Amino acid sequence: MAEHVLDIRNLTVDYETRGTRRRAVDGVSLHVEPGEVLGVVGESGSGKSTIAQSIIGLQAPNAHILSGSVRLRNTELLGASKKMWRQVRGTRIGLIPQDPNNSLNPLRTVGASIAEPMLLHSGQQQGSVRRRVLALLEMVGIPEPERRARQYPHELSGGMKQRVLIAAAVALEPEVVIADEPTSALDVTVQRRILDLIDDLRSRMDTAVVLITHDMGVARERADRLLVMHDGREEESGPTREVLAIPKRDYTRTLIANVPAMALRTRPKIDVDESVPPLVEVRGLTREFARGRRSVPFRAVDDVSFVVPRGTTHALVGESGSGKTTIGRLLAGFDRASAGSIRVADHDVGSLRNGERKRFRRAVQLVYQNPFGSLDPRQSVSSIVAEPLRNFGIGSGAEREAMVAEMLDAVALPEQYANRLPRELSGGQRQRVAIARALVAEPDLVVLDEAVSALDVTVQAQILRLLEKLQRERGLTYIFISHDLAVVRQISDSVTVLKEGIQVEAGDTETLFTDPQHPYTQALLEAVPGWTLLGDPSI
Amino acid sequence: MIRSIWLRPSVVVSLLVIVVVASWALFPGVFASHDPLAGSPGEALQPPSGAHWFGTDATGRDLFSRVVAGSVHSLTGGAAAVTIGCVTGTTMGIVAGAVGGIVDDILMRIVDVLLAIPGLLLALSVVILLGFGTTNAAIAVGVTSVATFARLARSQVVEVRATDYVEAAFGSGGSFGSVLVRHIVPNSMAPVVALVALQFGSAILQIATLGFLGYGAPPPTPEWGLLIAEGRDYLATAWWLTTLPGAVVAAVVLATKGLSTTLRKVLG
Repeated sequence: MAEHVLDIRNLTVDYETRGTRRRAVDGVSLHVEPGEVLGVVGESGSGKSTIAQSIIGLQAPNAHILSGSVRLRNTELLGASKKMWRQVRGTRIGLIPQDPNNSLNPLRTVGASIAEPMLLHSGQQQGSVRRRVLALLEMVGIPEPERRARQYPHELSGGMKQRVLIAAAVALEPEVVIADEPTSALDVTVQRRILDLIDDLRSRMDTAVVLITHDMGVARERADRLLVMHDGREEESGPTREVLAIPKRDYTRTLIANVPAMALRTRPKIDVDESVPPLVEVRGLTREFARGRRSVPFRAVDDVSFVVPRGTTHALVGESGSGKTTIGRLLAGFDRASAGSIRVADHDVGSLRNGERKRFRRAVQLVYQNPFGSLDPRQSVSSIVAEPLRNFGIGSGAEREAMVAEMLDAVALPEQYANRLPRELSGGQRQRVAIARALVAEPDLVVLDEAVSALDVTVQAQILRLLEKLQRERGLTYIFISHDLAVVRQISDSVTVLKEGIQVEAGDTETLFTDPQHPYTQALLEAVPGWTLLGDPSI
Repeated sequence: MIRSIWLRPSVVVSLLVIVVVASWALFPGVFASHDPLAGSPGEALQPPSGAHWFGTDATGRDLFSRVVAGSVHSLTGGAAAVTIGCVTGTTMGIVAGAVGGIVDDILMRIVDVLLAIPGLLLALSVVILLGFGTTNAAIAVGVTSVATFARLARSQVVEVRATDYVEAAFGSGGSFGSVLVRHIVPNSMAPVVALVALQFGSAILQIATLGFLGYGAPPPTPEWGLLIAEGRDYLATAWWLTTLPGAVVAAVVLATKGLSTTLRKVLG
């Protein structure tokens, strides 16, 4: 029998909540060899994080491991004593957590955080630990390690924090590293560097890596073998290329088809009638935020201009801090520009008078990123969707009811959901409600602010199809704000690429994606996981 | 989950205490075995027994009947105090949080001043201004809780106001008033309801304190604080005169506290 570093057999885990049991992981087996990356892929609720927690013995208190075995070389980890766990965690198994922003102790310097496992386990001297910390920081690509080691987590960016956590995870050269969604909280260009780093460490130290991710693109690019999870069960597993090229199961096929980076662009080119003035016209838009009395104000948006013809989708793309959300709020009239102008239909958004404001509100609607925060938790679905009708005084009571029912039908929400509360709906269903609320009063323009970013890929694909269908049927115009270039390529007709508030490139989507001019656009495109493999005929 | 929380032993005991005391207030005749005001000098200062559950006082009045008769003063006083505090305080808080700007500053500085004065001292000053009596004691106690309600309501409103769904409601064409009434207030009120239960207990305690100090109901009203004050002279010989009414006050206060915690869990 071959010697696996980590060998999980038939693992079954239940969660108990309020007396009822739910199976989270159902008879899953996996193994990893030294220097190999195993990608565990699945959507939220598929049980992939539960597997990670079981490997390192940090499962939630209401988790019950019913059967199976988790072996690290010759050591059985299930049912291990606390003392044994202390000897295993950090030294033999390292963990790279999901969100770097709350995984470091804010009261300790990052150097102290990295040194902690070494001081606890290896019994090295202070001086040699210090040298090792600096060497590790240098290895994970942090410039000026001496200075950084003395800094506190809040002084570092998200990507830097994740590097620090990686340094801490590999400090004692563990045999296995578990990376639980290591980059989902980071921007694409940062994500790419972090994944490169994990790759590099694996080949240098011959570590086995369990890479847990919801992102098929990441898995495709980085994993040697894949394990596809669905509802706690193994759907299929095998070498990455085989699984992706000849998926055996329907679920895997759907999952692959729904990854925007792997889907083909199907959007037809829309012929714009040049004689009709565009619906949206943004000229020299600038928004400054004051920071204290003396210093120069911060420019979140700096001289941005674009036009959007009626019935088309214009995308605003950029990483965090690029000013894209600020532009969205300016467009929806929730914020005032410092300079420049926005015109939507016949409204000058900068100078709306009271009566006009209400007409403008009806013409422009905003859909938010987080479907959990944008719906009033105390109101039923039908009353949420009916609210714009009530406010704008559209229709009588009975007519409104009919319009709400029709709208819910248009966003494919079954009738019986009308009386439910938001908390009884899934993320995708909530986003459908938010879209229904935005569309019910028949606006001209809908600003979609990262409207699909919080959703699983299959749900994301459904919502994107829904948005396209509604656009065709109702002649809607969309402003699509996103950090995800693959999604943007699928849904938009024209794009503005933003970096730190400045528009670096703009134009027709297909042209911009096939022939990016600006180095930043090129870097963004290359960083999309799975992008470089697009033209690879062997997959 | 809601059902199981209400069935926890501590919650059941809390509810039981409140139900018993409330029935004392509503139907004193059913529970009191004697006239709370008429004494029989022959039975003075008797320890608790089958005939007199809580014993008798210096003039031979049945202490249990007096405690039962006093419950109505404490409960109505507590309810009045909480109503005053909750209505004024919450209104101030909602206005401050929703309007913001200079209105917020002015209202919250008033609240700061109220909070800076110790509660009992404030209550005493109000009683001295308004005159003695059960009603005025309730008003005084109500004034002391205005600041607490105002702070809580304001912080809730400020938090809810910043949510996406409130902005979305404005985006759906809602006016300031309609968004306030439909979205902001309903989503801010859960902790305020829990605070009502909590403040009810401490209002009863404060009213009893005022009664004890002689600023509340005049004798021979069987007000709880007054009962304890009267029993003080016999502390060495008749322990039950202070201990048993004191225990009743403590039980009610603890029960409302338990209820408040439960409400916060259920509503929150």
